[in-house]
Amino acid sequence: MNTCLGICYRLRHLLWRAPYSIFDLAMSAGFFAMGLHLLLFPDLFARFDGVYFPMRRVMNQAIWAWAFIGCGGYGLVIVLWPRRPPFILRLLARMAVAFCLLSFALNNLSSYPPPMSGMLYAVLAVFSIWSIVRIRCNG
Amino acid sequence: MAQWLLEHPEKSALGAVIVAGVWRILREIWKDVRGKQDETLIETLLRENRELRAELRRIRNDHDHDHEETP
Repeated sequence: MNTCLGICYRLRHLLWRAPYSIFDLAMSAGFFAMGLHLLLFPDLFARFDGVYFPMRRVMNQAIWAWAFIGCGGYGLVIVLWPRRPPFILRLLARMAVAFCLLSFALNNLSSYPPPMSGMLYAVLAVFSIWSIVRIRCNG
Repeated sequence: MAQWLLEHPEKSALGAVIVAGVWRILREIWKDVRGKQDETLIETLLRENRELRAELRRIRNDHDHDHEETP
């Protein structure tokens, strides 16, 4: 019982107090790299049409690639900027990354059976939404 | 609902992100407003404190004068 309470307390502490900068850095770098990857392999959506069909229906691969590079690059600039950027810019950076993650998660979960990465994207998407909710003006 | 969300991943993602962002902005505005109210209260307390100290100083001075006047 005590262990369970301890774990709950630890989880609460992590969710409310832990810095999200490392999450921002990892996700921004990830999406920047994914954008470059999509540009390097322009036929990726066509090869894995089953998984990426909903994304391809919205925009073609090159536009998704530039969207990921833009969102990831913007997030990288914001998180690596030596001085704390204004609140609204930081919020927009997190919103951009959360949009990419949620799009990926819902896209993966919408195909049947969902690929394994769908679960990972879903968890990351939930945390990215949480990071928007927890962002602080003076934090 | 869930089916619609999965059928339109980009719209759902955009909607969820905008809702979360707007909610955060509203929370910050609300905190700002509440912070200003707290600040006003602190200012009121400071002013009252200043007034009370001035009154105390005046009473003390009067008291000292009373002692000086007595032979």
